[in-house]
Amino acid sequence: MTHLLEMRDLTLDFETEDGVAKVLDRVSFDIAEGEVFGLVGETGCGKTVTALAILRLLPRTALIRGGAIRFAGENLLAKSDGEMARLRGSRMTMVFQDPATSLNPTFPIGDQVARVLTVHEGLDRDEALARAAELFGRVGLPDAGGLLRRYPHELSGGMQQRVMIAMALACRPKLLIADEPTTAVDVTLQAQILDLLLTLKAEFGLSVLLITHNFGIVAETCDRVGVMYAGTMAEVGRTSDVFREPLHPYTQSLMRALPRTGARGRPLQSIPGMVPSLLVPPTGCRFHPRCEFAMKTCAARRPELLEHRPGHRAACLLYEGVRE
Amino acid sequence: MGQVAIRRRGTSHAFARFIARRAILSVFVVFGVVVVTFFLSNVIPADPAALWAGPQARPEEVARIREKFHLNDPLPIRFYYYVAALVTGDLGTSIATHRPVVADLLDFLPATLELILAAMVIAIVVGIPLGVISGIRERSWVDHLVRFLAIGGVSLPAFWLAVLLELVFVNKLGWLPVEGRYTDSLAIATSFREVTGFVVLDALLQGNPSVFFDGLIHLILPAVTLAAYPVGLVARMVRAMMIEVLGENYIRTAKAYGLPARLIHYRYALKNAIGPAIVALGLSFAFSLTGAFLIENIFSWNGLGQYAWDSSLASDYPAILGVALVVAIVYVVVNLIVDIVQSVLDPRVVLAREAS
Amino acid sequence: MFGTRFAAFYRRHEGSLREFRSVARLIRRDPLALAGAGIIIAFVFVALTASLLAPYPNQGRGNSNLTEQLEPPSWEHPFGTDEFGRDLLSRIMFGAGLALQVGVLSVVLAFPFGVLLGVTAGYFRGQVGEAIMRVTDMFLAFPPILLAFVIAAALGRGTGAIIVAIAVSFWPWYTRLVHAQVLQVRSQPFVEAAVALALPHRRILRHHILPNSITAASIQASMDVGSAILIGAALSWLGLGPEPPTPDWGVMFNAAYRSASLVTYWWYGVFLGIALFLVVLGFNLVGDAMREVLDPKVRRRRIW
Repeated sequence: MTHLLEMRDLTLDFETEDGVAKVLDRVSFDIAEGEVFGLVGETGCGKTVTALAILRLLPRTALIRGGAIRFAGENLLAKSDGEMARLRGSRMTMVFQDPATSLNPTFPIGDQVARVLTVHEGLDRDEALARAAELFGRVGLPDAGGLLRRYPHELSGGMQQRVMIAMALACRPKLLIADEPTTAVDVTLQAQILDLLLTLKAEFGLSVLLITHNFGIVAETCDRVGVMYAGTMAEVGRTSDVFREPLHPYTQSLMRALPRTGARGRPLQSIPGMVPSLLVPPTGCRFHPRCEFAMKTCAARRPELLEHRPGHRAACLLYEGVRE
Repeated sequence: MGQVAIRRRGTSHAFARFIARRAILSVFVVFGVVVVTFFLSNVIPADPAALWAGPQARPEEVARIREKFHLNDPLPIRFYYYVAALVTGDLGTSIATHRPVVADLLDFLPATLELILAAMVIAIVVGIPLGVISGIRERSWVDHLVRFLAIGGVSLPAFWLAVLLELVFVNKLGWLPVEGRYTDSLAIATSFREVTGFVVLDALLQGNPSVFFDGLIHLILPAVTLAAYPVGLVARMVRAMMIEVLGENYIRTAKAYGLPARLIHYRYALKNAIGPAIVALGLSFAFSLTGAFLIENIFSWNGLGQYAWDSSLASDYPAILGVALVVAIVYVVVNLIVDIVQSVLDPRVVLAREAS
Repeated sequence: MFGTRFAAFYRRHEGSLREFRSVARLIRRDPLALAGAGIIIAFVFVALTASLLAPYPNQGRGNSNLTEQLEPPSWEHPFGTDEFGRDLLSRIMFGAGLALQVGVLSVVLAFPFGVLLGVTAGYFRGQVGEAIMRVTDMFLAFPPILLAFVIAAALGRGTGAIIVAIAVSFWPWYTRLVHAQVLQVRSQPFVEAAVALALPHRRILRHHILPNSITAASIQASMDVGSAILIGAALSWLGLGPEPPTPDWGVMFNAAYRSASLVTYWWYGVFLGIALFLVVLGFNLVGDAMREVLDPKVRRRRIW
């Protein structure tokens, strides 16, 4: 069965002033049609870079060393700039973390959304503006017609985020990437935005790649989830499986670190050590310096992402029968 | 659906208030200029009455003129008379020409304005595209070249460039004329009359193509000389702003939505980048005023610069005051226009200023 | 003992020292900045050693040489001679020091004054702050050449007058830039924390506010040296500078303009202009490069 999005062994370096940072190392996962896939991990683990890689929006200092990204069967890495530009904003769209700075401050929001429609679907300005108003209504913005003329700074954070979502849905994409869509927004709005995303996903029949560091959101909204650590994919599987039986030691530590109401009064569990530098990442498995189950081989051999339970992959030598 | 608030938008109220505040401040500034120049110009050692009357005058004549111009009164009283006259639009009478200063100024001002406007036009037409291209192709050879040219333009001494251009284009190549704003013989032959004082405009209005082109040709050299600084300034500003803007999140969004590069660069980015460039252009106006005075001298351009020069040589203090006032007013008006343009381009400016 | 003092100094200022090192590194990489730095060094060298290097030092200082008036460039006089027969190369070399003085001293004068006012206005705000900024606005809106003219006229002519005049024209810029930044810095949590801890004002200003508010003004100042030299030359040209026979470039230019046709005796104006242009260019190139390096907005590297 071919999935909507297939990422295989994506390896990516960044050239920096201090050297070459090995930002992504053999990252692989799939997203099926109509599913919500959560990409979860600590800050700096490469989630956003992965998303940008899909859209081919990386800066010139980014060098793809290997791997493939297939979208609807086509290899994105082989596409030209022009072909990618046609895909971006129409077949795959992205909602960014900070809506306040992600909208152009000198153009009215109606214009900005309409522009996407005129460029990708060839509508003329009036039609596009009418569609924009319609979309504003769909995402729950009041007085859609009046809003067309407003500037981004005249809206609150929640409204700005809805505008971004409207823009993302304008051309009925197959894949919507949401990069921490609720981080910049307060808690009451978080729930509304997530609800909105799920409703629209059902209505429009699209897949969502939801990037977040918040496990609560993952539990509520995602069908499947991928856990990333220091540029590698540690574990991928159905949300219920991963939560109930985390395979990778990192995931297990993360689950333990989550505060629970029952554990009130007891000290919080944290993971010892620090996130490694990507300039000189640990050899073998990148998690081994902090792993309580680390064996000698873990420093030497890099574990493959293998399906150790049905529909549930993990990259850990523990499950490969290695004993030391 | 939750309740979401709409913040106060930049209504026309805020805009009008903003402009009003700037206008009032400008008036104060002009007044300040008047005060300062009046009191300081009275440090001139020469006796204005004697200058007025001329070297042949008898002492009674000089005394009478003193009375007439209130020159015996203490300074504050003279200032009062001056301001009173000012309010009615009377800038005094020139000691040298014995004409109302206002008339003199109206004669000479358009020439200078024409020159400066031409220079500003060149600055916009040449400077902005250079800055945009340079900003888009950062670190490339194009960028280095534009940077070098821009910094060179800003470093050139105006009078030196004038002399250099004159040497090349007038003497060596003989392509361009050196003196004045148009050829008198041609003007007489085609019965050309100065109406507004803007030669190019007048020629256009009178349907006189030969003087029109003649005027333009005379305008080229001084305007290009004057434009060197603003072009450099604008190009540098636009480049810096383009680089900054291109790194902003909303440009990333535009790219993420597959918008064509030309649209992103020349509409989405440029609209955000151009504000400070316009401000820089307006501020370079001050520099241009200085440069214009020197350049007028070299190219025998009968503008305010010539008038100021002659007046200061003759210690003609009403005239000097008049020039200072005009310069200040023009300066202040330009700043006001710059503020307006800036707030139109970027609606956030109005709110930010209101808040401060 | 001395070593520990030095170590403490280094530790306290390590951050800014690292900034300087990265500045030096980036300047080395930018060809334009390199060229600019080279030009400045060359001129400073010439200015300092004029008495030794100039072929005709006495003429450089002002002695006439009436037998060789207005001679075109030759082996004996590579830049020709002026209307008093003085060797122009020597005159220009001696004038370099004056030009550099004007440029550097006027900025050195204006900068601390402007910064002090800006910090005061931004930190204490209220009526004091408002008053300062209104005055600053008025000075800013005053046409600079007029201002300089008025001051130089009041003080009498000379290099000192010009330096003061330029300084008075420049300080409002620094005040405005610093004021804007101080307002921004002041609203940041770490300053609020310091205020809440009731730290003395002087300490807050020195350690927290000041270091973070002077970047924009510093960038402006580095670019202002070039402008100052230009404006100084223009003011000298207008007659407000030192008296002849001082080899001030503006004065020389004026003499050239008035006493000799700049077209027939082209060498008189052209070499002077080249010298002036090069000096200003040098400072502007370096200033621009410094802006590239120090401006936090330009330096931002976005990972997106």
